[in-house]
Amino acid sequence: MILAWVHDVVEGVRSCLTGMRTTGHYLLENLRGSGGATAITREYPEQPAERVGARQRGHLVNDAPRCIVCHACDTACPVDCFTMDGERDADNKMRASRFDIDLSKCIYCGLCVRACPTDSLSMTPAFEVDPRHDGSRFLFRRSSGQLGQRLDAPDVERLQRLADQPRESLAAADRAWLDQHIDPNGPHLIGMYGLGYFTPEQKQAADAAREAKKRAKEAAAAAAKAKAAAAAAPPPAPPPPAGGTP
Amino acid sequence: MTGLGHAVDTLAAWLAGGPPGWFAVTLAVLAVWVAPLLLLVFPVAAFGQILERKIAAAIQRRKGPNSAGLDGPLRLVFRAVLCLLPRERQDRAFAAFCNLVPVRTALLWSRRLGLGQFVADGIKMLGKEDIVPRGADGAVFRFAPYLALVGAFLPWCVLPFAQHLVMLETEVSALFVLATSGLVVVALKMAGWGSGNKWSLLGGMRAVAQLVSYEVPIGLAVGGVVLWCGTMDLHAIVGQQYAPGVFTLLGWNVCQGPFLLLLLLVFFVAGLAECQRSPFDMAEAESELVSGFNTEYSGLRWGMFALAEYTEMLLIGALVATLFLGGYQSPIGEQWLLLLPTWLETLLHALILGAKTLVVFLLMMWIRWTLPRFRVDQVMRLAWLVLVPLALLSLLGIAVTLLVAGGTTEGMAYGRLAARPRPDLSWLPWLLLWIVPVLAAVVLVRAANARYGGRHPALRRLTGEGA
Amino acid sequence: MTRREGPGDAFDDRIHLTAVDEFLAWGKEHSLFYLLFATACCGIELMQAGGPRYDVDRLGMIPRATPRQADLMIVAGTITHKMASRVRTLWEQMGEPRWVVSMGSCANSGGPFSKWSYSVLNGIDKYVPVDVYVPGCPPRPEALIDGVMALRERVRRYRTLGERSTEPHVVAGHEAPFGARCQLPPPDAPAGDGGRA
Repeated sequence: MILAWVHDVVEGVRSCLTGMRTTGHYLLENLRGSGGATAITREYPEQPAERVGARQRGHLVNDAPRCIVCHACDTACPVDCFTMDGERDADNKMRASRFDIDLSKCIYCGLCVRACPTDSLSMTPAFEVDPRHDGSRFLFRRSSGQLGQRLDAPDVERLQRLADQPRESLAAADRAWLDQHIDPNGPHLIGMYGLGYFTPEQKQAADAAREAKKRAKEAAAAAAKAKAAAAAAPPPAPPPPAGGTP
Repeated sequence: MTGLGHAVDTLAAWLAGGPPGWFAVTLAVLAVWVAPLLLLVFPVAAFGQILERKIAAAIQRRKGPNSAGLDGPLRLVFRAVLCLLPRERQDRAFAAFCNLVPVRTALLWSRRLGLGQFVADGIKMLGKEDIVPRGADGAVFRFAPYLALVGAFLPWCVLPFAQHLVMLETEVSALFVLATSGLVVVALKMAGWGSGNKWSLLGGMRAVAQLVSYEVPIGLAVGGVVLWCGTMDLHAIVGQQYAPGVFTLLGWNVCQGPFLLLLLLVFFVAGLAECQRSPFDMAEAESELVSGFNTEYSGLRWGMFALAEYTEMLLIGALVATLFLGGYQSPIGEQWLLLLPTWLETLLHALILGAKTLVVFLLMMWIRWTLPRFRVDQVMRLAWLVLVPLALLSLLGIAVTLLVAGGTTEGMAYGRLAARPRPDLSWLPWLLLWIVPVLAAVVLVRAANARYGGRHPALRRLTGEGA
Repeated sequence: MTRREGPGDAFDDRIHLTAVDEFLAWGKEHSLFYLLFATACCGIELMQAGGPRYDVDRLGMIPRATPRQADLMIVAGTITHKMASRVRTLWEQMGEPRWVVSMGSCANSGGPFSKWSYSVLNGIDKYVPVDVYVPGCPPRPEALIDGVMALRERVRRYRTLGERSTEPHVVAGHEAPFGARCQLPPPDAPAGDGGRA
């Protein structure tokens, strides 16, 4: 029994010393600043963020000029984080006039990226949300109670404008409107991330250009028709072949 | 001059301008004893916290606190000095000052070392809401942290910092230390009970069970030293450890045979448990009790508990140094110190004691960040089945040694007069003293190894060894 | 530093702080003890942030097991309706000043469960006032630290002595599908006292 006790005590002391040898080794190498056990800390705000790999899913962005508003991403998305509207542009192609990604809902699963037929959606490796991302609009201060609210382009403009002013100087109506749409508690990191908004002027211009183009095309077609008719009129045309007209 | 009693008397008489009344005496005691003690131990204990975080970081391959420098407090000082200037000019002046190369370097280093961390923690706690739970026993709850602090600070009164620097000289200072540090038990129990919280109560119960159990090996270890030195006066115990010549180290109690060495281990381990330090921190085990006895404490009251813990760690360090490592004596000869002027000698002695304390302090941190927490039954088993038998064995060994060796009056010149002269250990008894127990221990360990194998049975089963 | 400014920041910068308030805020900013509290996979990232690689102890943050000693609650993970009242209780038990970071899509808006789940709360900010939302599913430790840096800017503007600028938080819409069974506070319930005497 005494031998068992002695063995117990000796074993206990020995295992303690083994552990302390390991940690002491770490301690010394760390204090010395060399060896295999120096600090591996990455001091994030001072050092740039670590990139795990090229396929890291930091944030979802949409390259609006390539987007054809086919809603494939919307169909694939398990959480409904997209809101989009399309307009015909001058070339009569569908373009995103509004493309919002709700980053607070997004679960970064990447299904939309795989579904996208034009590769306009992609995941950035950087996670840092940049409100001044070229062409994007970023809304701070949204609380989850306000996430379902639909914000149109004029609303976004108004939000950005009002939020930049001191709260005290706002009119009561403006302040109430602001509180209804953003969280009065302060700057948050989440928000809507829109690309490709058309302002009313842009929309008018695009529509006008499209109309003008259409009219020009029609005019050209009419002119060509008239020309063809004029060319065909003086000599009596032979009857067309039975194969049909182009 | 014995202790600071003389200084207190002088100051009290000067304050009163005649025979001092109770008010003058209280003021003098506050000025001479309490204030320097608090000013000395408070910052050191607070600094211990940042030291601990840095050491933990080094052990875990981290950087530790390195964002809070001294620039925050410095800015406050700047603003106070330049309070008449407009704010923009204060800012500009501060920026210009901070950009001076030496200042900048110093501030960057302070940040790197995290020197501002305990300032930040302290003022954070100061501004934190002070919550008293609804079901709490208000008075008990509020009083407990103060009592813990008192229990951690009182023993410092009798510690000899230097030959001429003892706050309170008594013949029974070892007993005083044991008695006053026992106040912490009461404080923890009060905190646990007064919080009106199940976790706190369980933590308080555990703390009491643990502290009371470990008072026994601590008491036995101190008893062994008292037996060896023949006095209960800590200052006399330090004096007893004097050895002439360069090798003062040989006079220290650790070198006085294997039994005192064993007692040092017992005292250290039990002291670790007395401070509620990991691996003995089951009173505030986060994984089981939310935070143990201090679950309901917030802000400054919790800070007081933390401060008391670090103060007690320092105290255990100082006690290990005083009882076993020669107290304030230098390890490389004492005579040259005596040639210096008194103030310098006092300063050096205090610094030497501080260095020894720091070594033990660091060792405690090293252990904390190495070993996982014990289970409750393991803690009790360690106290009653390992430490107490070891301490009793050492006590017996010391008694037998004293009987065999007898004593002379050598070494009396330095310390204060002791009740019993120190034993004369000429080479033959010295040899016997070391060799016989060590041989016995070796034989026992070898026999145990032969009987139970080199590795733990569970480990052997695990690795399939010897199957 | 990678902090960016958003709309509204300019307004806060104009607030005049007294020197002492500035110092107190400095202390709070550098000693944000966070509550050990995690309910889902974001908790793993939270642990990583506390581990050697990202080491939030560097910023003066240590985990505390009891809400009384914590300054910051990081809501890491999915919060069910049943859990929401517990989170609210924990928040009420924290001493002022206290802050909340909502970490990951689940805590922000319900995330993957926001659409079809009957049991998951869509956004923890319906029950506790959130100071900073960190997007991600789960966010990387750097993203969390980024959110903490944003919070520190907010803490820097906190005034202990002077008049507070932030208006009291209005607890937003109340969505409890099972009513009394979930024991959620009514939508406009004032904050409880967290067991204070």
